[in-house]
Parts: sequence; C-alpha cells; structure tokens
Amino acid sequence: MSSSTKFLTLKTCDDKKFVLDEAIAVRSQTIKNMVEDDCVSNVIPLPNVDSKTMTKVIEYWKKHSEEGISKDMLMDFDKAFVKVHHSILHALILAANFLNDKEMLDMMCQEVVDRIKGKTPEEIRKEFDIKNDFTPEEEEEIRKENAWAFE
Amino acid sequence: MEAEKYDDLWSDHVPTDILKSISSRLVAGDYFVFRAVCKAWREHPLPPQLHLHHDDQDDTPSIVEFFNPVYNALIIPTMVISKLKGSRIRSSKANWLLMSHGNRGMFFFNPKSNDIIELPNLPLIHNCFSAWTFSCPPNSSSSSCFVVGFDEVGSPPDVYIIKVGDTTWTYHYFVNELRNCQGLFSLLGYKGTLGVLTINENSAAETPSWQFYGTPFSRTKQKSIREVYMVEDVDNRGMLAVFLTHEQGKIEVWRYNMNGRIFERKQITNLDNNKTLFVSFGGSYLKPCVARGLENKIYLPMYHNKDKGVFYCLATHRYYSFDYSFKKPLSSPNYYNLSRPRCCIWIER
Repeated sequence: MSSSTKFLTLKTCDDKKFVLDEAIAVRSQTIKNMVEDDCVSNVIPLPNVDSKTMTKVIEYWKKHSEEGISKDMLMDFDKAFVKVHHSILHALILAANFLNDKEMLDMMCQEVVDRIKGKTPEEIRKEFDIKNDFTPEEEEEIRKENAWAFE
Repeated sequence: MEAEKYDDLWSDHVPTDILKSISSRLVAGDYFVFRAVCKAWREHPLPPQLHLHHDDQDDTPSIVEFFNPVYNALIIPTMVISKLKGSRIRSSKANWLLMSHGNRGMFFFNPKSNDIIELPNLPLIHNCFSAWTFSCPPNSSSSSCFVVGFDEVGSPPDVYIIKVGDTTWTYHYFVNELRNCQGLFSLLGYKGTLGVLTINENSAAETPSWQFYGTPFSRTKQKSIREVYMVEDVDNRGMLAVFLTHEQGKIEVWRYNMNGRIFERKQITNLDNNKTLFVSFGGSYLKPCVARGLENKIYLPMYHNKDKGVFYCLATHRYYSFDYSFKKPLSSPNYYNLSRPRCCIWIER
C-alpha cells in the first residue's frame, strides 16, 4: 500500500499548494476524471477555490477517508463542520460544486435548507446577509398570494 | 463595514442548480417563504419533487389515486388491483381501508402492502348503511377488530357488527329503548350530541349498548350545519367535531371531553397551535403540524383546480390552496367552485 501511494499536488487560486494522497483527492469527481484521462502532469490547478476553503475541504475528505471511523463519529464531525459563517458555507458549496463532490455538496445544501426552515423572509435575509430587492408593493403582492405561509 | 461585503453572495453568486437543489427540499410554507426572500431566489426555484414511479405510457384510467398534501401531488400506482374496481371506501384507520363492494361485499384493503382481508358477505339485500367504522387494524395481534355499520335512520341507530374472524354478521336493532335519545353526532351530526356505542363481552353477538351525551344545539344552529366530521384528539383525551356550515362555509371545531362522568363540549379556535387536521367521511386525523404554515389548518376532502389540496385556516376563516407551479392559488372565504373526488378518504402514510 505505502509503496504504491501516489500524491497529487493541488494549486488553489491564491497560489497555495496542497499535496494530497490521490486516493483521497479522487473524492472529487473533477480530479478523478483528470486522473483517469491522464491529464495530470504535475500540478492540478483549482482556479475556483481559495486556500482557506481548500483547507476545510481537505479536512472533510481526510476525516471521511479515515479507516475504521464510526458512523456516529462522522455524524458528529459533519455536524460541527457545517457550523460556520454563511460566507464560508457559501465558499464550500461553490468548491464542492466545482470539485464535483456530490456527498459534500448535498450536506452543505442541506445545512442551508436547515437554516431557512421555519424562518420568516426577513430572518432569512439577516441570516445570509441578503438585500431585499423587492419594492414594498412587490413584497405585499408576494405575501398576499400565499398569506397562510407568512402568518 | 464587514457585513456589507457579503450582501450579494447568496443572491447573485449562487449557481442556479444549487438554488434549485435548495428550493426543492423545502415544502409548503418554507417553499413560499424561500421565494419571497429576493428576486434571484424567486426566479428559478425548483418545487419539491416526489419521486413517482409510474409508467407514463400507460393511459388507462386508474382505479386508485393517492394524493400527498405536502407535495401537493397525485401519485398513481402502477399495480392494478381489479377487486377495487367498483368498490367504495367506507372508513380508514392507519394504513387500512374498509371497503364495500356491490350490495353485500365487505373487505379490508391496505394500500401500502396491497393486502386484502375478506369479510363475510352482509346478509342485507341492499347495503343502505351510511356509516361504517372499525376499531383497530384488522391484522392487529393485541386486540380484536370489530367492524360496525350504522343505519341512517332510527334513534338509536341499528347496527351491523362483526368481529374479524367471525363467519357471520350480527344485526342489532334498538326499539324505543332510549326515548330521549338525541341522535349520534357522527351519523346524524347536526344535533351536536355525542353517542357512544359500547361492544359488550368482546363479542359481536352480545347486544351492544348506546350512551348519549350533551344537549342538542339550537334549531337554527342545527340547520346551519352542512357537514360533520369527527376525529380523535388523543392528546386531550377527547374528540373533535368539525362542523362545516352553510353560511359561506365557515368551519367550527368543538372539543368533546368526558371529565370523569361529566360531559363537556366547547368550541376551540386553534388546534393546540401546532397541529394539522385532515377530515374526510369515515376517516379523519389530527397530526402534529405536517409542514411549515399548515398549523391550525384543516385539510378538506376537496380540490382546487382539479388536483390541488384545499385547507381551511382557523385564524383567518379562509380556504386556501397552494400551487408549486406559477398558477394562482386559492384564497377564498367560501368553498364555492371547489371539486370533490368521487370517493376519497385520508390515510396515514
């Protein structure tokens, strides 16, 4: 095993390099395709991901590749992993989308869903720093259409 | 300002596919709130999807259709059970339906497992009994399941009873036994009194006994009632009676309780603040709120625009539907122009 371990070098948009076991890196379908198509020469550029985000992604990948880790431990890890500021959540979603890691993307989207559920539009805007770009008339119209949902 | 820098992250810099993936996981109120957050979130939402497995090629009319109120979707099962053709739904409990077929046939059907449990034929020439019910799932191992049919007329009403496993039905008629009987609200309904039928000795052959509680509503009130539904309210150890009135279709909910030996009846204005009620003839259910925005709402056996579920809001006294597509939903003080499925009942999933 150790003799056949291959390492890949990933380069983020801010020029930081990450050396990673290929077996872990191929959790990304995007990287996996590149490896399979043999278009990996030395460094894999990740133009859409910054180093801060990539550090988090790799932390997630490593934890999920640990041998003998229990389901409960992974659940606890995931729970803590998604408790981040919305801007980090946003970056992680874009990274997971670009890297094409369905499992991670799914988990992050679910976290967004959980932060939306049960809140009013105003509370959601506050949670995600979203500007209300409706005119008061438009907003009134939208609320009126399904008034029961806004009680 | 630190916060300023994020203010378009979630509105303008999220790929459409991701927004769709998020919106498709939100149902009922949460979905419509999502669409009210900002323009970008309103523009390309994907409604929640039920994964339907049915053959689109097959356009033979279906015998049974299922309606999921949260997904607001019809589900048409592929398996066709010929026995259901021409059968009528009489009552539901958990996953089981009590069905009648022709003038005399009675059987149980479980739409989840497609199991059928046959009952002996009724000795009637014509099944004119208007209301049917059963005590527990027919395959229950812990207690005997009794099936009871109530005659439309008579006070107290005559009944047909069978214990599942018995080979014949027993007919019990009551002549002038209770002179002052006020009727049975689940059947006669409009009087507002409660009738309780007790089966004795765990046997269908033993004569059951009727008990009646409460005083009748005033005549004017009785006349105003158009439909009555009854549902168990387990948390409050009582029953809820739901009265749909003629006057513009206002709905009243009353709670019936036995406090020791004292009967209590009072009108309520919310469903413990967090419940959803589903009413239909022969099967009604009070559930913890099924989805955001549906607390204190009463789902009726009605459709708006042919296949959109209709619910009544106890706070606003209005009828609503919603539509995940862009069609105009219902918001009306009455139930005019709503359709009813020909034969329908709520069941538990």
